[in-house]
Formats: sequence, C-alpha cells, structure tokens
Amino acid sequence: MGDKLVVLGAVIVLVFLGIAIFGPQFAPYDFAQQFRASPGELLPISVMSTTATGERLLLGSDALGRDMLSRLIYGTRTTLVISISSVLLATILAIVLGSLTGYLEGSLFDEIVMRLIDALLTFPGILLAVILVAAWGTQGIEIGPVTTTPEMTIVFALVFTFTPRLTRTMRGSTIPQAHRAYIKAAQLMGMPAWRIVAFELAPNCLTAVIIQSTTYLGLAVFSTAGLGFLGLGPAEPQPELGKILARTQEYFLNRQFWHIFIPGFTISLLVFAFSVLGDGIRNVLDPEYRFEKADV
Amino acid sequence: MTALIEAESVKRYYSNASWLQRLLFLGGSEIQAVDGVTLRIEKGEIVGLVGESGCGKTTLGWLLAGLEQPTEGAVRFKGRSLGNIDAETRKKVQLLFQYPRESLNPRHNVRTILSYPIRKMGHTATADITARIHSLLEAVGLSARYADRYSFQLSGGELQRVALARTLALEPEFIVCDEPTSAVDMNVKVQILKLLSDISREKGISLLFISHDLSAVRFIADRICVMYLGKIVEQAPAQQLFDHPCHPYTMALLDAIADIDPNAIRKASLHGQPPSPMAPPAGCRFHPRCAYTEQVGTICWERGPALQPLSTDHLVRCFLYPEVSQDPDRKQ
Ligand SMILES: Nc1ncnc2c1ncn2[C@@H]1O[C@H](COP(=O)(O)OP(=O)(O)O)[C@@H](O)[C@H]1O
Ligand SMILES: [Mg+2]
Repeated sequence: MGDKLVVLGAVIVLVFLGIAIFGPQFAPYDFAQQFRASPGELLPISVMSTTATGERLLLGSDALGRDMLSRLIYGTRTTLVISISSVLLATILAIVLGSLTGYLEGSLFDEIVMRLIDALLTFPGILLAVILVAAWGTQGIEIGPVTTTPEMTIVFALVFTFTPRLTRTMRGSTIPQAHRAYIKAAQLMGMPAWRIVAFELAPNCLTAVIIQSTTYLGLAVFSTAGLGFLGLGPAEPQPELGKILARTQEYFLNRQFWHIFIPGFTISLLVFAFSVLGDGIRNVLDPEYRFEKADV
Repeated sequence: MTALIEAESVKRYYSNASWLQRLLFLGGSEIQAVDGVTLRIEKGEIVGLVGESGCGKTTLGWLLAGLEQPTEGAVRFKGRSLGNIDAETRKKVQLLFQYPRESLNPRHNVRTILSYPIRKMGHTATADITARIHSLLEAVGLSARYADRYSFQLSGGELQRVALARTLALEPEFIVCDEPTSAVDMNVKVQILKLLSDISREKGISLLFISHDLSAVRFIADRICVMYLGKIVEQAPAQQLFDHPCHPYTMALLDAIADIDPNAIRKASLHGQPPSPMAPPAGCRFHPRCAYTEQVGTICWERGPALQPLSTDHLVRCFLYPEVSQDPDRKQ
C-alpha cells in the first residue's frame, strides 16, 4: 500500500512538473486577459460557459474575468518555481553552513551561526516568512545594481524559514564524521580545511539533510500558497495558487462558492503528492526509519 | 647529535571538567594518559612501544605525530618543535592509524586517496600521477588493479597496505605505526611486519611501532619501550629486553607469551586489570600488581621510582635496582 502511494505521488508530481514546464504551450489564453460574460458586466464567468466574445472557458474565470484554467497553469508554475528553488537554496546553504559549523564545532564561527539559527527558530511555522515578505514588500528589492523580482523576495523569505532546521541536521550528521580517523589522516597530510570539508567530510554527511529537504517540498508548496493567500504572493497580474484561492472568495457574489474547490483541490493534491513522495524517498535512503515506523 | 624525533617529558592529560567546573577551579577528574615520557628516536631506527590496552600508547603516538598537543613538555623533529614547524617539514612525520578502514574515506577509491598526497609532492601531470600510484602500490605489495577499489572492497591487510602507500607518498622520515597488525590474521601479520621493516631499512625511515603484541615487536624493533599507565617503565635494545627483562611488569608480559598456547590465560604473575588512569595508584603505579613489592618494601607505595640506567642503553623504573643519581623525573 505504502509503495503504491509513493508511485501515485511521483506520478502526480511529474504531471505537475510537466504542467509547470510546458504549461505556456498549452494554456488556452493569456493569464492576464479579461473576458466578460455579457457586454459591460464584469462578473466571474461560470465553468464551461461562453464569453460575450465567444471564447469557451473550461473552468470559468476569476472575479476579474481572467481564464481560470490558464491562471491555474501559470499559477502552478509560479508556486512550483518558488517552492522548489527555496528548498534547493536552503539545502545548499544548510550543507555549507552545517558542514562548516560541524567541522569547526565549538569555534567562534560555530557559536555565532548556531545562536543566529536559534534566534530564527523561535518563530513558529511560516510566521518568519510572513514577517519578512511583509517587511520587504512584494515589489522586489533593489540590491545595488540588481532589483530582485517579487518571486525572489518570497524565495529569500522561505530560505530563511527552512535553512535553520536543515543546518542543524547537517551539523548534527557532520560532527561524528569530523572526529573519524580519515579526517585526522587528511589533516595529517596537510590538507587545507576548506578541502577537507568540501571533499572529505560533507559528501559523507548528506543523507539526513537530503531526506529532510525532500520532506520540506510539500511544506514549501503549502507555505508559498499560504503567503499568496495572505496577500503576500507575487504582484498582480502574476498568478499563484494561493492567490487564486484567495480570489475565489469573490465568487460568493455570484453564488458559485464551489469554485473555491478548483484551486483548493490543486494545492491539496500538490502538497499530498510531495508529502508521500518525500516519505518514499526517506524510506529508500534511510531504511532505519522504515523499521521504526513498522514497529509502531 | 640531535635525534630525528624526540619527546621531552611530555604529558597529555585529558580533563572531563566542564567549563563551569574549570571556572570554579573544581578540577573534575583527570586522565593522565601520558605522564612524563622522554624518548629519542634516531634516523632509521625502529622503536617498539608495548603495553596493555589503555596505557597511553596511542596518545603517545599521536603526540609524536603532532596530532595531539602535549599538556606539558615538547616534541621536537630535527631539533624543532612540532608545534611551529613549516608545513613542508611537518609532512615528514606521519602516522598509520590503528584501524585502517576508519582512516580511509569510504567514498574515495584508492586512486583518489593516493592522488592527493602525490599532487602535494609536486606531481601534477595525470600520467605522472598514475605512474606514481602504480609504483606506490607496488612498493606496498599490491597490484595496479587495486587503484580502482574502494575501502569496503579490501581486506584488513590490504587496507593497511593502502594506508601505508598513502603515507609513503609524502616521503616521510618518521612514521608512527599504531597497532598495524591488530586487525589481521597471523600470516598477513607477518607479511605486514616484513613490509614495514623492509621499507624502513630501504628508505631509512624511522618507525615507532606500537603494539600490545610482544612477538610482533620482537620481530621488528631495534629498541623496545614498555609502557605502563602513562609512563615508560623499561627501555632496552630488543634482544637485551627479551634476554634480561628487568622490570617486574616486563617479566610478567614475557611470562605471558612464553606459554605455548597463545590463547592460554595469562600466568598468575600478571593478574587483574590495570588500574584506571583516572586514579593511578600512589607510589609506583605497578605496585598493586607487582610480585616483588613485599621483597622491596614500603617504598613502592610511598613514592614513584625514577627511570634510571642499568647500563648505557637499558633503562628501568623500579626500586629493585639501587638508585644511582638524582633524576629530575623522579617525583611521580
Ligand atoms: N580524547 C580523549 N579524551 C579523554 N580520554 C582519552 C582520550 N584519548 C584517550 N583517552 C584515555 O587515555 C587513556 C590512554 O588511551 P590510549 O592512548 O588510547 O591507550 P592505548 O592506545 O594504549 O590503548 C585511556 O584511559 C583513554 O580512555
Ligand atoms: Mg591504542
């Protein structure tokens, strides 16, 4: 049963990745184009209905008359790009910070980094990301000559949320390895510290952090959509799953409350697929965990 | 003439006191792993270091290789302190770890393991490195095929040979061999011992050969140091030590291997376990297990004997022999 779930998760994730990558090719309309049900009237268009200008909208429109299917496709793309790149960046950062602090356990560098991480960990859940995006704004920040895109702001905020725990995991798996004889042998050969960490130590300490980061993918989708729902997503007219969900509130005007299920179901499906896939990857990489689970 | 490498009254204490205990000067407990060892090793000499497990052999070896810093005393290589020596000279002091599998990165194959020290010695062309890998493997008795193996594909003896090849790549002048034969069976043990002694003679490399196995030490060493609870209790040329052991502890160790059956329980002359180095006995550290204490008298637990010469190259730390001079090493 568990294995079948993992396969299902993998298939769903692959389908979504396909949508994210090739979506623009088969999205029926531009995500910003506005349609009207009848001339002059700007109300949500119902599922499977035809607009005043004759286009058929498979999933209807949002409150501004924009094609729901096209927005879902582009929204999936935005949500996935933000969540996957934030987990990827956080993992890379955690591997670097965790292996350095683990190797230099007890040093001033270790102390400073770990205290900063403790401070970041006092914020529960995605509260830190909410605060950061609210503070930075969703318009993009100017850093010297480059201006970040709104999506990058959200990615940075999520990286701040995910990195602390991942760094702790990486540091935890680095410390016992750092005391092993092959590291002593490298030191004795006069190998520089950066090389020891990058080529001898870190590659032997990755399992735990990779397991954890795959389980973070579902959380990342959930957080990205959560930020979007709270109005902290990318700026208009860029679609994002959480934002689309938030806008379905406006359907209540049209008594089409069940419209909420279209983006809602998409988000749930994505989170579910990533979660079971993450669990599956963990079971493969970390057989001990599987035994633990089997006992319970 | 200065010795190639020398330890001058080195001590290494391990403290388990927390920073709070240290701040309040509450000592916690202290392990006197190595407690005042003076040892000189000449160029090309093979010195054996024997003693029971936990007596501080590894710690002394690590001190001599510069992997541990002495709590007190100094280790000098060619007259210069190991603590502040240039990187080039530093590489000439190497160590073979007690567990070879642990000392090789499980993720690297033999080629990768050997490449780093080879590059470090200035060979950079790929063909050059490959040739050097093959000659190093050959020097330790392995064929070129081993270059693509990983440590989990190698037996204990092969692992030890690869570890030796890695140290030889740096063209060392002194190698600490920490129980290199403890994890292999009898015929592999003999091969490794022969290999080490051949390489040492051929290249003029000095060795500190650590073992709790007296027969191995007898085979390879020119000179032997017997260690008991952090101190050297007897030191003599190998033949001399086996023919005329003077310290009661050495006698007991030799009695133990004189048994025909190597698996037989040790003779009663060495009963019990060595005391904990955390709370070493007062006076002579060996007195609770010594067969001669009654004969010598109360002095054995009143104060510790000094390491003093019986002849020019035979030193012993025991009250069985008349004290010759005032030795600064005398107290404890
Ligand atoms: N890093 C360390 N921290 C605390 N105690 C240690 C450490 N290394 C060794 N010791 C202690 O020092 C003593 C000597 O150990 P060791 O040198 O490994 O002995 P041997 O190699 O002769 O078996 C032992 O009691 C051991 O527990
Ligand atoms: Mg040891």
